[in-house]
Amino acid sequence: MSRLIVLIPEGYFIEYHVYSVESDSVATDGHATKPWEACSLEWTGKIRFRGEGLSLEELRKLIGKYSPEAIAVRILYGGEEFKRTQIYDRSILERLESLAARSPLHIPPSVRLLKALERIVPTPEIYLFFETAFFANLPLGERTYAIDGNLSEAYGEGLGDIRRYGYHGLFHGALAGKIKERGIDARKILSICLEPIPEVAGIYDGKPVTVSGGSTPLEGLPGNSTCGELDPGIILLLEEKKKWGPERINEMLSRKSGVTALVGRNATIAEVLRGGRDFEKASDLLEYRILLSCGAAMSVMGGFDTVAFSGRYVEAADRLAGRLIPKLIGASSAPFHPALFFMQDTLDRLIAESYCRSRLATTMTF
Amino acid sequence: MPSEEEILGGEVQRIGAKTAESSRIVHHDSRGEIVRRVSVKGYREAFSEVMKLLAGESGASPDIFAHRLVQGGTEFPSNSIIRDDDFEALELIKGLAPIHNPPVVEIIEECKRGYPGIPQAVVLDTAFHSTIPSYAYTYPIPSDIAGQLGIRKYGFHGISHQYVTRAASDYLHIPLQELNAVSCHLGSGGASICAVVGGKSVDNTMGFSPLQGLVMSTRCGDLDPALILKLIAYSGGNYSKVNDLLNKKSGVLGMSSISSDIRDVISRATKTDDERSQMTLDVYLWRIRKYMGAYLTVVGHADAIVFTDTIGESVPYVREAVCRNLEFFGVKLDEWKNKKVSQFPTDIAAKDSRVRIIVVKTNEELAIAKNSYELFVSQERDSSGSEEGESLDEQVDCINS
Repeated sequence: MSRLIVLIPEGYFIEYHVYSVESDSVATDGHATKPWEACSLEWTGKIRFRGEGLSLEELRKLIGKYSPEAIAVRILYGGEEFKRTQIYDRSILERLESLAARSPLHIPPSVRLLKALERIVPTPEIYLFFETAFFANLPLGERTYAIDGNLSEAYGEGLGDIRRYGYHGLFHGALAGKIKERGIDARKILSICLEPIPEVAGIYDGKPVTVSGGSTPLEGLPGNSTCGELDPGIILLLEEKKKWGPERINEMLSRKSGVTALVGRNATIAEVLRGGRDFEKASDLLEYRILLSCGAAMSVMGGFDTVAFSGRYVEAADRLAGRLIPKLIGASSAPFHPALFFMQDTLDRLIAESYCRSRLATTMTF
Repeated sequence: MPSEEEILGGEVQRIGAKTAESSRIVHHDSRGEIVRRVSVKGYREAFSEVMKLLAGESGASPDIFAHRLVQGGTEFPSNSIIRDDDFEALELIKGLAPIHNPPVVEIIEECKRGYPGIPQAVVLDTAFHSTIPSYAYTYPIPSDIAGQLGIRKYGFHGISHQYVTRAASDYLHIPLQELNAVSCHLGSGGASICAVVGGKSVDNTMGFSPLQGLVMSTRCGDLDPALILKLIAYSGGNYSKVNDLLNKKSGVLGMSSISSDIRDVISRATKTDDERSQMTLDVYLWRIRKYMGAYLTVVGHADAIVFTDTIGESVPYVREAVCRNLEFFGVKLDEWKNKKVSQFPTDIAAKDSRVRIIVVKTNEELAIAKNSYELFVSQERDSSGSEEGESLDEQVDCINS
C-alpha cells in the first residue's frame, strides 16, 4: 500500500488529506475492484500560512511521517496554459508563474507551496489538478466576453486572455464521469455544484457547454459572501459616487455580499437552502438565480436528462431539488422523468480518485 | 384611446454642436415627408422650432405633452401627470440617466414655460417592470449601500415590451392577464429580453442600468464584475475610460471592429470567412439563446415568444438562430414563414409548435400616447367626480426625446 497527500490551498490555510491508495498489483487485478474506489482517507488537517512564507517545517514533518509516493495539489486557475492534470517539473513552475498577474490571489501562494515542496528531500512526484482545465474548450459563444478584442493595446498585456473559465471543474468533471460509469443517462447533465461559491454547468456528452462561473469565481451565482453576476453599471456607480477604488469595491463584492448580505449576518448557502424564516429572502433569490442558470443551460443543450448535485453543501440539496426540478420539468413541452444524482464525495477524495485512475492508466500503458 | 391614428410626426436630427451637416427637422404627415433645415444648439431650441412648425398645421394643437423617461428612480417610479411641485424632483433625476434624462427635463421645463395650460405626462421605460419580484430585482450586495444608491434592477425598454405584449395578446386572442411570453426587443442599438407572466413583466435582462444583459451594438452586456475592477486598476483608476469602453466600444462594435450593427456582421460572417465577424455573431446569438432558455423556464408554460424592434422585426437569420434547438420548450419555427414576414403582427411558428412565435412592429410613440391618455382620463375622472373625461378625443402629441 502506498500513500497520496492531497493539498488544497484555501486562503490562509492549506488543507491536507492523506490517502492510502491501492498497490499496483491490486490495481491491475482485473475488473472486480475499482482501485480508485478503494482509496481511503487516513488523516486530514490544516497547515497555516505564516506571513509571506509557508510553514516549511510542518510540511516536511507531514511528508516525513507518511512518506507518500505522490502529492496532489489543487490549483484554482490554469488559464489557457493548463488544459489537463500535470506532473510537476521546473518548466511547469515557470509556466505557472507566468499566470500570476492573471490570478494574483491564487497563483502566487500556489507557486510558493510548490517551491517549498521541491525543497523537501526526497521529493515525491507532484500532480497538479486545475479547476479550470475541464472548461478549457468551452464553446466560443460561451467563453467570449463582448468587449473590445484589442483590449491589451489600451490596457497592457498583463490583462492576458480574458475569457470565461468556470471554477469548479474538478467537481463537474468527476460528476460527469461517475454518472456515465453508473449507466445513468449522461447526455445532457445540469450539474449544480454547492460550494461556498456555487456554480451551475451544462454538460453535454461529457463536455461542458455552459457554466455560470466566469473569468473569475466572482461572476455567476451569489455565494456565501460573493455577489455573483452584477450590472456592470453598478461597479461604475460605486467608483463614481463612493469614490471607492477597485480593492475596496472588490472587498465588498467578495466578502460582504451574497447570502451574507441578504441574511444580514455571516451565512452559508447551505443554511439558506435548508430554508427557515430568516432565510426566506435569500433562498428565494438564490433558487431563482439557479433556475435562470439551469434554464440557460437547457437552452444551449436542448433540454436535460439528469440533474446532479455536488459540493461540500450537497446535503443541503434536498429542499432545493424539490423546489427546482418541478420548475425545470414544467418548462418542457412534454412531461418526463429526469434522473437525479447526488455526489457526496469531497473535493480531496475526487482528486485522490482521479490520481488513482491516472496511475492505473499509466501502469496499464507500460 | 378613441383613435390610434398618427396625424403627424417627425424628429429633429443633429441637435447640438455643428457637424458636417446642419440640424434639421424631418417631418411627416398625410401629405408626405418634408425636411426643414434649422439651426439649433440645444433641446429647448429644437423643441421650439418643432412647435413653430406645428403651429402652421391645422389640428396640431396638443391636449397633452407626453415625455418618455428612461429612468425615473424613486422620484418617478410610475407613469404620472407632472404637477407643479414635481419640478424639484425632476432636477434630481437628471443624473440617473445622464445621457437620456437631462434633455427630457429641459423640454418639460420648456413646455411649462411656453404652454403653462397644457398638461404634461411622463411615461417610464421602467414602469412596466415595476412588477418584477424582489428576488429578481435585488442584487445581493450590502443593503445599506444598495438603499443609499438606489441599486436594484429597474429594467428598460418597458414601453416597447408592454406594447408588443399587448399586441401579441390581441393577435392570439389570449386575454392579457393570462398571457405568458418571452418578449425580445432586439434593437440596432440597445436590446433586452423580458419574461412576462400574466401580461406582467417578471424579469428583464437589463438591470440597474442598460449595460447588463444581452450583447448590444456598443454595450458589453453581462461581464464578470472582477473583470471590470481589473480594467479600472489597469487603466490607472481612469473611471471614464472604462465607462467609455463598456458603453461605447464594446458589444458588436468592440468584438467585430467593423460595425456596431449586427446586420453588417451577419452579412460578413455568412459571406466571407472573417473569423472576428463569425465570433461576434456567435457570441451575440449565444447570449440571446441563453436568456431565451432562462426566461422560458421562468415563465414555465409560455404561450408566445415575441420578436420586435429593428433586428427582431427585420432579420430572419437572428430569429431562426434563436429559435433553433428549442423543441424541448415546445418551440418550433416555420422557416418559410420566418423568411416571408411582410405584415405585422405575424405568427412564424410551425403549425405543431406549442409556443407561438409572433413578430410585432413596436410603436413606442403610440404606447406613450396610450399610456398618457389613460393617465389623463383617470385624472379628469378624479377631478370631476363621476363625469367621463371627454376632452381628449384628439391625438396626443408625443415628444419622444
